[in-house]
Amino acid sequence: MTDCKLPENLTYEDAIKRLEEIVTILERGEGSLDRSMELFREGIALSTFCADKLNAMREEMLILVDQSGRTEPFNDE
Amino acid sequence: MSSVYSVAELNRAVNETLTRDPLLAKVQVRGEISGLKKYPSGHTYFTLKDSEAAVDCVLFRGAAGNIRFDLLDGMSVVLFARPNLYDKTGRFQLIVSGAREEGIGDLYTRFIKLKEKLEREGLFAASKKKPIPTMPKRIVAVTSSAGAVIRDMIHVTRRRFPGMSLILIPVAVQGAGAENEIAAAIATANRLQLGDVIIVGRGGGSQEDLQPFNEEVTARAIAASDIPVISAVGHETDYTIADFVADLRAPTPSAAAELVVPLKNALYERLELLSSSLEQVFAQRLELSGRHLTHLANRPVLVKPTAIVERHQARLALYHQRLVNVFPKRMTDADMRYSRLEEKFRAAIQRIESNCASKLETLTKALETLSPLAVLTRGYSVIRHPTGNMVMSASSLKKDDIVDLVFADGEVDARILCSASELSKGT
Repeated sequence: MTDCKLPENLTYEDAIKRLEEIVTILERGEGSLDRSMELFREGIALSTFCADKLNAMREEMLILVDQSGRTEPFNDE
Repeated sequence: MSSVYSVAELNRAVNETLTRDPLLAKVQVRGEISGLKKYPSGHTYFTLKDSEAAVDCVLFRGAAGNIRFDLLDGMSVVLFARPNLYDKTGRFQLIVSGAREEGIGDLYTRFIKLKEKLEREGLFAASKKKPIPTMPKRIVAVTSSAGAVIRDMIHVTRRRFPGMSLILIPVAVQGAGAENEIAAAIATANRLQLGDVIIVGRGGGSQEDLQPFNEEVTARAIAASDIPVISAVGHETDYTIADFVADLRAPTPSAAAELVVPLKNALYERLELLSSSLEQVFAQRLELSGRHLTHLANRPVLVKPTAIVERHQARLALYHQRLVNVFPKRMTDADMRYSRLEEKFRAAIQRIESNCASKLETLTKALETLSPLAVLTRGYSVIRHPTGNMVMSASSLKKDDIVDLVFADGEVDARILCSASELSKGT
């Protein structure tokens, strides 16, 4: 199965929304088999994208030190 | 022993005492206005209260002119008043003769005015509200670095979504100039793109403590922010100007964090559900296509292609048979009808012919009896002038006229010897 190209700047929200859309379309059983196949590929890509997004988040607790944008870790203990 | 008063007497006596007492005759009282009612008569009634007690107040129409600002609920004032016991009801009240605004009351007026102004400008319009991201990448907190507020926010964030990032822009949240720090922080967050949602807030406090969030500069900074802003000021009940301008209002900063930080587990569950649904529905789609294919492949035409020809052959044979059955029957019917007609026709012709023959005979006989020749054969003759006209009368002939005598077998000439008139003379 070839990779499906997802748009750049895709947000998590948009990806989830599109994934829901795809599931709904497939549920209705509309469209050709080829189209369904394309949608399925896109869905898999979206699902992977979302899971990656969730897993990739690394906590940063920062405090802005000055107006130039310099930050320091925020010690909340 | 004291005498017995009537109620009216008692009320009047107390009232006189109040009036006579130099300390109570004219007082200044500090408190907050509530339950304010203006009547068409021009009199205004309200309650003045503080945290411990309340007293009924009346501002008669005549004294209303002494006060140069509008009395409003929630306003803190110092009243100039005269204590009074109303004779009829025994109700204790202050008859107000003047007032001045005090601290917070001043702020309240400003709050109302600013709120109306910004509302008119459309800063609170629902159409201006930006959606809050359901999965922010990083949350910007504009609040104090000291105190429980930021720690509560961090706590909530970590609990709901381990891995969520948060950046604090430390600002003063009360006191002079705090509003400028808050406004600058919101601008900085936008300029440096520090996150995709801003929570601006502080813990609960007095009306004065919340004042930076009621300042125009704060309101305008929130309105100008491209990053969605959640206001989280004070507590459940108090609304600030910032609350009206913000894209979303939360009662407290930790409540704002609850609103904006998704539950990571819920996100995982939803994704999990969607992914399995995706696989399931696609598998169903494939199965459906497969079933369709099998169904098609099992159709007789594909299983036995000769079936097509056979069907046509069968149909052809059927038609042939029907044709054979039907055609002779049709012919017989037609034949019979034809010969019946032919007979009738012949009979008719014969009838006509015989009729005609007999008529002809009759006519011929009639003609024969009328023929002059027939008369001549019986011994008659016809006399004709030489001009050819038949002589019909004796008087038309004169002596010596030559006439033709026509007989059946020929003609002869004759001369008239004596005219009819000579003959009649002679006799």
